[in-house]
Amino acid sequence: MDNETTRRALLSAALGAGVGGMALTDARSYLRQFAPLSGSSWGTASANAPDEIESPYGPATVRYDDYHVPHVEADSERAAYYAVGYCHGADRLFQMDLYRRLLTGQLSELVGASTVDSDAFHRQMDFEAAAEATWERTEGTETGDVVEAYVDGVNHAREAERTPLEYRLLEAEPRAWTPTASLLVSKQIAWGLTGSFRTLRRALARDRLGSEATATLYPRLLDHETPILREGEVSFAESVADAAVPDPGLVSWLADFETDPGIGSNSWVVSGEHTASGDPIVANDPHLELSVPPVWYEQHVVGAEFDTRGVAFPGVPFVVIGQNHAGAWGFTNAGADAIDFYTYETVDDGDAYRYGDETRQFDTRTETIAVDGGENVDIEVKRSVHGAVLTQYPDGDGFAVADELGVAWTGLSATRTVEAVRELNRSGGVEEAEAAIRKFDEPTQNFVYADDAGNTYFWVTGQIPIRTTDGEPVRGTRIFDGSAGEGEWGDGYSPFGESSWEGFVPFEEKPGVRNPDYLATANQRITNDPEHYLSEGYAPPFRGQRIYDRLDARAQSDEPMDAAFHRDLQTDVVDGRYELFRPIIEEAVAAGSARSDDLDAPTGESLLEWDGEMRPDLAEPLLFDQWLRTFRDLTFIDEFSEAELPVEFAEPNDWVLGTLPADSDYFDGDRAAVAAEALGTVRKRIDAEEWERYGDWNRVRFEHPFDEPFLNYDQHPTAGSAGTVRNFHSEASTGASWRMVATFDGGSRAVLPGGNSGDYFSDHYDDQLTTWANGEYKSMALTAPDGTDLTFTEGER
Amino acid sequence: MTALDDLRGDRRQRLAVTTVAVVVGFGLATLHWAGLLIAGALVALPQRSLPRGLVAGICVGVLVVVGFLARLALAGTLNPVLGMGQPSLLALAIGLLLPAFGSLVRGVV
Repeated sequence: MDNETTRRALLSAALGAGVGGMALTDARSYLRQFAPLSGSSWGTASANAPDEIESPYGPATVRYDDYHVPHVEADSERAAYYAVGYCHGADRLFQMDLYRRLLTGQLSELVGASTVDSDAFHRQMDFEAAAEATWERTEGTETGDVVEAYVDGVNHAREAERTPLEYRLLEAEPRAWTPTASLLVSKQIAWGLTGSFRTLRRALARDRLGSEATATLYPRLLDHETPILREGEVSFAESVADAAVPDPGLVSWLADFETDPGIGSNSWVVSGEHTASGDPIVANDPHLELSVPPVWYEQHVVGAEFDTRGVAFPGVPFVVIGQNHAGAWGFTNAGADAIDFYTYETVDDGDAYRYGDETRQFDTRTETIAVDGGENVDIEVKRSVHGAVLTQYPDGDGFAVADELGVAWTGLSATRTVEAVRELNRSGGVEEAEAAIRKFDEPTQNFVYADDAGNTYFWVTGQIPIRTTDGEPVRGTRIFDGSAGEGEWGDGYSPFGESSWEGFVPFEEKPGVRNPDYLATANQRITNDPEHYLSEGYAPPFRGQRIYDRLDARAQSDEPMDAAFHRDLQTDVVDGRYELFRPIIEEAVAAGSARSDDLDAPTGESLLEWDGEMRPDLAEPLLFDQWLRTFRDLTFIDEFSEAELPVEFAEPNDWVLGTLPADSDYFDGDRAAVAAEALGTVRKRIDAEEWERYGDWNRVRFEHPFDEPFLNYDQHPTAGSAGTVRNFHSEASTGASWRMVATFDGGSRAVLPGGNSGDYFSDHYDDQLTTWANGEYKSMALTAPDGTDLTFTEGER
Repeated sequence: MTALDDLRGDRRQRLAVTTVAVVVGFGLATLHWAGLLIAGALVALPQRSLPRGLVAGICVGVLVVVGFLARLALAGTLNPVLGMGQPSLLALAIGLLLPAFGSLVRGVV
């Protein structure tokens, strides 16, 4: 009897302890999420979505093709974009919400203290106010009406479809989508393409290395002969003096929030004179972050007056890059300077600043960053006459000390880009496309276009400010004294309000050409002799040079440029850097460091026999890629360290490194010795890492924001490098975020790096990844599959 | 002799109550994770001994896991769920262990 009682007591205690442990500890959260049958995570995996949906905007149908591309059809434009909103909401809701949270500085509320810095920066820039101003300008217009229908569609999907897995893992609920949220996504894209702190980096470099060295290492214009528009003479004159030196800590802090160095793109347009079909061809591969899910969403939308297919940013209704019933178009980053920085003479303990003869109060408010699982953080958000003011950053004193730095950026005002893109989607040829692109206020882009009548077109989009000091135009290459009225933008600029084009480079005075024979853009210098100051710096010319070399050769041959040629060019893996650096490798080999040894790594001699193709199955590109990185580090590390530049301070680009004189001080007078040392170091590292081929290092490693192994895409070896047309940055995970070759014979083809669905449980989460990694394409024709997957019927919501 | 002892002694009654317990337990498990514990307890209580109760709890756990996997298979998401690794293993472990743990109640009552 005693034993029985003891056993019962023990079992009771064990049960009590077990149930208490499950109910009262963190284990409860896991049980809530992952218990079979009831776990919240599995709801996403097993719930069924509706296939008949009521729409207040009228009937529409959606047919998904084999790659889950929605083919939307409706008579009414609003009904069509209600359905598009539904598709975006069903497939990408979490991604859209994450963009919104990033730009409004509300990430920490969802993910905790790790994103407080990001939230502080984005609140200080006040992108949300810029988006609100943009919506105020858009609301009530035809575009505004379509955006509202789209937003309603997103919210219908939010309620009717399975809640995305990410929310379930975070145990959070998606919030209602709004028109301002859509415009925030467009601001995020614009900031990602033009939000550069290059001015601050160069100012710091000038202070630490001197003006002459900075002009050598970080030239505004690179001395090459392949701009986009290949005419005229280039002037390299430089003259800069900064009003202040930025704090190195500030420069390092801001580096996390600016344009990624891998951001760039290729595009070209070829007239029918050179193509097999006699119609023009447009090719475009924008190099953006390679994320999970992809930054783009492919869609095909057919209305009574338009038929458009291509890619949109989830959160924004319209196709940004693609093709419609009359034309095809693409964008690359123009690299134009649309941002400036100002220091102030402050008074009243920093509450006010001098502006000419006046004293003005900063427009100041305190905001609280909510932090999940941590203490909330208060920050000050300020505005000046120039726009946002970056006042605080964690420079050792938390967010305590104010360090005012005014920021003027074209995107801070109400812009018409979404209106421009809608009109582009509806455009019936080059004239209407140009009319649309005139409204494309931000970001500054190289726009290439061709229509089915045979017209070709190139123009730089976006507002480029004409800065003046004492009424004279000046370049935006330095930090200005905001109190002294330096670097003023024109009267048309109204941060957080409605800007006009007064004081910006007029459309006709921006670089452009109507009906070019063929023309290629790869973020290189746009033109040799612009009418106005355009840019603080462009990408090295390697991609642009290679594209023009192949286009020139083909144009001069008897072979026409068919679509297959353009796809082959888009995936070209010849690295233009090899030609530039081969003589230096020869010097290294001659210096003797690459003599035979017992290492398995390829030798310097084999590098000299190589064809310069960055293929994953070869060993030489591995050695070249790693050698170049190490050669660059060895060249600059001592000087940069002595100058006390921040550790992560961006080193000069490959064009600068490859064109430095052999006896430069940066090589300590002996370039061959530095190159040879790099070769020896790298060969040992390759052996130690047990890498055999380029593909062992050069792999697609696309990460989901949660960085959970199951949410990340599988890794694949792939071809390409930072110097090839097939652009790929392995460690930064940037590259071709969409490859498209558009023709007018129904043979347009394209591919996404991943899949169209952001739903982990979908078959289309990553179904294009292998196709993309292998440099292959799928159809992007303006045709729809049979059957209907979603039917929208007229009804109330 | 209690009513529970009578129930345990009568095979027909025991089977009938066990069947009802499986259905009710399964239903509760679809609503809340604690339903898995209760399912294990409900099927164990009519059994004649603790070891038999434990076996019944384990069987319910297996049934839950099979039901879970079948539901995913019907939704066409079985492969991606299994590909999740830790979360899916956790689900299988919870499904098997919680009913078995709940069935220990047979040793108390």
